[in-house]
Amino acid sequence: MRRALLLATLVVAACATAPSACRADEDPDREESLPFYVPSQAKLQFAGNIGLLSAGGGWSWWHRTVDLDLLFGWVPPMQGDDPIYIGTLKVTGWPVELDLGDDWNLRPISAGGTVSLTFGDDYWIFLPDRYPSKYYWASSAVRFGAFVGGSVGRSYGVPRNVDFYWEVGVTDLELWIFLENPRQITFWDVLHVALGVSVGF
Amino acid sequence: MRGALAVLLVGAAWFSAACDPFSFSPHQVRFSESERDLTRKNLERIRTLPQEETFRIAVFGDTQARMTETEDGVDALNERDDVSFAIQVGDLTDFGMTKEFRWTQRLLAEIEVPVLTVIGNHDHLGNGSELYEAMYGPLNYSFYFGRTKFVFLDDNSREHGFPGTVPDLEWLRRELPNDGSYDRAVVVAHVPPTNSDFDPALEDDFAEVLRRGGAVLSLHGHVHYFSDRTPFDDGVRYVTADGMEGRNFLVVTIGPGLVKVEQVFF
Repeated sequence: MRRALLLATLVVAACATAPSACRADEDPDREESLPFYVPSQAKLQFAGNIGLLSAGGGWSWWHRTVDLDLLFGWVPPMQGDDPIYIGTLKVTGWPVELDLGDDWNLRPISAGGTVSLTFGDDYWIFLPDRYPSKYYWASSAVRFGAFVGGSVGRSYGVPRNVDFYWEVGVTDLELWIFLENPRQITFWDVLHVALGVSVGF
Repeated sequence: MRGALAVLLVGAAWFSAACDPFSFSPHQVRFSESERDLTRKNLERIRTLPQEETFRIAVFGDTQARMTETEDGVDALNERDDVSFAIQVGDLTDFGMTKEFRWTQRLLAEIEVPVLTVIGNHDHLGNGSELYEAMYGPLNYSFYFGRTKFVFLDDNSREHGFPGTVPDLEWLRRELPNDGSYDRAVVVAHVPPTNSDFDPALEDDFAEVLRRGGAVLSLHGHVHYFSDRTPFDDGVRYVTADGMEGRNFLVVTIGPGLVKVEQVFF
């Protein structure tokens, strides 16, 4: 799993530092002309409850108003023994894109959601056999998240765009406990911040 | 481009250290210094207390996400001055997640006397036992208070899939040698041994280790009701604390020939 993460990180780093290596097609209407399964961006994200770092990529449609990404996240062992590995499917909507001139753009609003899977024997999707039915109601492996944010970026031609994005998000069960205990927990306790870079090719 | 990325990462690291709005996973094992190693820190405080022959302890039941009741219970306990230390009998959390441990501990930290905990079945979910160890310490531990020996242990057999080694009776037997180093013992574990979440193959052996080990009292939670029984007819009292939603905790008086259990409502 470490190797997959490293590879994904290298792809993003390579795209960021040596754009010509990632040149797939110079057709400006690439998203209409390439097969649907060819990814249109790579992303590298810091935090956001889906890894200390998560890397991957995905597809963008309707002139960058919707991104769908698959990210692989990693948390190194910190005060415990084991690293944590997380796979995340993430959808982001970008309703507004403002042209700032000189090829710079600002997307002031984003909103989206994640569904993530924490890997390993400690986490289960369905209740394991050792429990009577309905012993616990929430899967320990599957988490849903929601976020809002924005991005600032520049288009280069190749790579087509490099965007830095930021997000403020919540995770389902943490939000649930906050909603049950609004006097003892503040919204700030529940919110978490993510930063990332997206490279379109 | 490379420079911008470096600035981003350095900035993120600084921001992270300064106010920590970043979370890497709901299960990240990442606590501040004041949230760590709490069993050892509380035992050090207990060691400095006057160790009277007869003393009182408070016992809080399952807290899970019942924070209002827990907070009120903490306030009610702080109004008393006759309790040496407090015990929470497990299920600090609902889902064994990092922030839940943090939020519950934030309430327990308001208790003026030292507080000890034991791991519950909910606290085992995901990597909860790693989180418990990082925040509190070992799952099994013991200490002396005067002539009374306290033994805390993980007995959440079902969470481990009933391996036959949870609770660890070998360890418990070594901790309860009844060799004159203590006059009486108190055992604290989340699941009562008569409950179906306790390994049925170990139930009778558990009772025997307690009986031979000089235990007078076995404290539990898990069932969310108060009970005070001697299910093995051997003189050892098995007590369960109500869940915090019941708005009560126990005050237990322990001394020579004395175990008195009172339910205190708030």
